[in-house]
Amino acid sequence: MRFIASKKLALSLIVLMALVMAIAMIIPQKEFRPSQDYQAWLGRYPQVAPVAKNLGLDAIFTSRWFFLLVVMFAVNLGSCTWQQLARVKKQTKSAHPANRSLHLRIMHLWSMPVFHVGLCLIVLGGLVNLGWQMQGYKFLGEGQTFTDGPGEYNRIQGGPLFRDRYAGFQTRLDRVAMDFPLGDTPHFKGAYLSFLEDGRVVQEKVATFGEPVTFRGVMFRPDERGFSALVKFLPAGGGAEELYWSFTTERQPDREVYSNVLNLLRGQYLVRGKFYPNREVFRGKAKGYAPTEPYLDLTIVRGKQVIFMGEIRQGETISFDGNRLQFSKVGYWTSFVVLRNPGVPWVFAGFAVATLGIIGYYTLKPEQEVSN
Amino acid sequence: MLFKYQVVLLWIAVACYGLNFLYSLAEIIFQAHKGIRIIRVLSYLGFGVHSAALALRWLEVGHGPYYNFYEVLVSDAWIAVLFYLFLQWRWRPLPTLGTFLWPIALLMIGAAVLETPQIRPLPETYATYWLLIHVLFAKFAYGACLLSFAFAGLYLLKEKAEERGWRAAYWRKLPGLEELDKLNYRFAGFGFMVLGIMIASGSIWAYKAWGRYWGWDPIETWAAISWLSYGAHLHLRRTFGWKGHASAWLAVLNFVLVLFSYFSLTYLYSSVHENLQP
Repeated sequence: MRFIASKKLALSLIVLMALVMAIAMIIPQKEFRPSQDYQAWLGRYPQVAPVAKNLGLDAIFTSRWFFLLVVMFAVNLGSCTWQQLARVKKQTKSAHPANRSLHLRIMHLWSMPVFHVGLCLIVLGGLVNLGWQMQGYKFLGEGQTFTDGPGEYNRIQGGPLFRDRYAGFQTRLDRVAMDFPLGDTPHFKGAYLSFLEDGRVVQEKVATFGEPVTFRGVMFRPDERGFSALVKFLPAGGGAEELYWSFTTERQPDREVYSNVLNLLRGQYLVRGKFYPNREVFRGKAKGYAPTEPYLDLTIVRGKQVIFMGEIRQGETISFDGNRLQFSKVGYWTSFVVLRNPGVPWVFAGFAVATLGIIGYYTLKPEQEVSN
Repeated sequence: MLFKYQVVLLWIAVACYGLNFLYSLAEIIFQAHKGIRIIRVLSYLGFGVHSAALALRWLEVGHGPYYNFYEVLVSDAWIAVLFYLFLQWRWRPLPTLGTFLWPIALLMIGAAVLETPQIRPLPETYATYWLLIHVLFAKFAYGACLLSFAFAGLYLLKEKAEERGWRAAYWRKLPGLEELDKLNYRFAGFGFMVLGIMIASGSIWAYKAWGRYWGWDPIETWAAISWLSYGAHLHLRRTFGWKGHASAWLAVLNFVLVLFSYFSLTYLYSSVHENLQP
């Protein structure tokens, strides 16, 4: 116990961590630097790079020994803080209640362990996240509802201890607010979300880029966004299917960016579409991208044969092989990065406690310095 | 148009700080104690025009001076001078401290005015109050680190003066070695704490902006290294008794590290903080 809580160990770990991090800043880390940078580095130092690679120095932050170092740091920090708390508690008990100066001094003494408790919480929160975090990716068109749970995401990855489970609520994208400034691509203003439990709306929130929303510990951060052309497909064999055909507005729009592909009847038909929110803007005659006269430029392919080529305006329907395709309306879509980081409350609490400790340390000053 | 006025004002500030530096240096070299009034006037004048330039920038871009390298440099130099003036007012006139402060402030503004910063709209991820908290603490942190370095430098100079038996009034009027050591320690401690809050608030902002609160980005990692290094300094002093000379050199070393963190990002790395690159 004495060794774990020793200041020498604390100092050694601090210096070691700083050194290891500095090495990681000299040797490019393959998971945290663009791959071309990493490849360029491999080529630039043909003697050193393979050695560093074999020693695992190009993946320090994801290595087990670095994780172990962080755990050791956390344990040492916790033990030192515990000792500090015990010592200050003892000093508090022995203080005379009538002595105001002594009280200030005691409170001043408390502030340092409080600061360390805050640091402990931050490190602990980081470790909890490392084990139990989850990151999912979900595309939602206006009006679509999503149930958070296994198999519901477009993409999902989790920490080693994460187990996918239903969070017990649904999320509906009610509306996407967009702005169409002149001469610029559409600006995303916010995604209006409703959270439902047992089919009943329990909360409504607006997610923006700077301010994602969190509900029951699950965070929804808007990522990409764009136009969605809502098309209704009526197959010859009966039935109907509503499809959200998404077109991104991320980059400066050109004909390629506003295009996407739809598969119909399990790939029997391939529909290549280009979406034009406003005919004039692509001819350079208008400077805004507001969908005033939206239309789709379609090419429908069966096998290798093109069976339809032409434009379709909003509200129009086309027929091919007895099937019908209707361009019913224009809406918007947003993709969300959905995050579960159970350690975040710990990190936030740690931040608050550490700040409290600092405020205490600098404001509750005794008349004479206790120690320096 | 406003940018031109800013540049003119900043060059005036550079001139004031440069002259201040020369006066402070002359005081040390010639061991005089006559230029204090001039130094004081130049400090306030320089700070006044510096503030005006910063205000113009704020007016021009419509947000605080934290987005690009130009804004960060000018505002960090401003906060360092503010710290210095506050210290002079609250504690005691200490013009020699400026020997360490003026060249750094001068270089920061000089580097900034050589930029031609474009005005671009703030990214949507900047629309959060966590950014303001992060920036505010960053300014305090760098200001405190600079002062810790300045006191450490003064300590080393005074120590040398005592060793060599320089007896001019100038050296006698400097605080004692023990006091300089304590001031270095206090500012290093304050710097360590606010640097910690800067990192924590930055990570909360990153969590909201990018969905992850730590991504081992160069600026994050170098900030963490600086923070750990200040932590090591404080522990060495408190627990292992590295006071005085050793503590002063640690403060100098740490400040070099902070400067490296500050400028390495600009010239050596690609980073998610690409707005800070010239």
